[in-house]
Amino acid sequence: MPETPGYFPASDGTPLYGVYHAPDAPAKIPVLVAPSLFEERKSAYAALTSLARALATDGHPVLRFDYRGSGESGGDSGVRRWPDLAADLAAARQALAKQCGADAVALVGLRLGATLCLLEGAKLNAKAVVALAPVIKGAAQARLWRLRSKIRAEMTQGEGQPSSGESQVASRPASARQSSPEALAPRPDVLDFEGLAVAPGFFDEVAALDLSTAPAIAVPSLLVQISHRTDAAPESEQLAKSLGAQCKLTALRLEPFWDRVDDVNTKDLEQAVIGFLKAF
Amino acid sequence: MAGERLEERLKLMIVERLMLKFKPEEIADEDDLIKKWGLESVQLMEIVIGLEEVFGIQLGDDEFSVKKFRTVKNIAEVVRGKKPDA
Repeated sequence: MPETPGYFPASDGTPLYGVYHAPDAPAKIPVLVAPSLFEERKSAYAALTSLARALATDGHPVLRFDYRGSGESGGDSGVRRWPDLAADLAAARQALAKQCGADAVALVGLRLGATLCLLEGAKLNAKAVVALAPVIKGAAQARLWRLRSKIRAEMTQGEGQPSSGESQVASRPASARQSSPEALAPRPDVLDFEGLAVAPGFFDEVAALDLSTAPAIAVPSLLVQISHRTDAAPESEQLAKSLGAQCKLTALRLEPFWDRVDDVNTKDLEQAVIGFLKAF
Repeated sequence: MAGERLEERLKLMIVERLMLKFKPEEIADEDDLIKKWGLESVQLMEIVIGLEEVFGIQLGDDEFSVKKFRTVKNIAEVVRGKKPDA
């Protein structure tokens, strides 16, 4: 299947990077793949690329893309806010529809990308939404980011060093420690999240997210719990109930590949997504 | 599970939760989980969440340090500090 990288404009003209996977004929419903952010985006890159290829092989035109200030896209993560991600998802949806000449699309999101797809799916007139391990409570995710940042900082400084107790997420000025589009030269106006520039307020916006209290979405959805469990966790069951009668929940025993350095075999995940999308 | 040593329950939780390829009994109480068993930093985070879910322990951000989660023995001390009857 040919894969065509390129750029399309966000609503404000910011160039967004995407890769279009053309399917073998006959084409099924086009699929837009929404990634996560920060380290999760990098760690899940191979798995989402593999998923896109599997979907294209099954006959789906697929577009995977980077939000502004992320990956190969233009823009500044230091000013990026939650509504910008929603706008970028809408722009990508439009680009996919234009590319394959079909208006109906399905959304497949991972982690924060999944949360975004669930919240924006109906607005974007998606025919189906697949939510892979969505962030259900943003406050819990923000706490994990704080912990992760603290763990990394401690391990970088050397074991056993006393912690300041201060969140690295919210305390340090940005510095350019990583060669990532999200890594910027020192700037006092942005937060430094493990070397990645983040707009003040972005973490607060994420912390305010709570899918468990969100209204049911009027779009058929597949909620994929990815964890060590083979049964559904109460939190997943609650979310599936909240999402409404059109939501199907599946629990996959799979390592959280978005948090792993090594590749994880995600074939079962690909089959679950392909199987669900057959109905559209 | 009832009556089983806390350290053994912790090892089981760690191996199951992190889907590790070795057996709980292979881990010694004082093994360095990072150096000997190759745990990554984010996996320590998953242990924190596991303690909350399995043992009902709430850890404040300030209460966490890598040193406290370096070995099963260290983790057991954290648990006993929060829940003496664990």
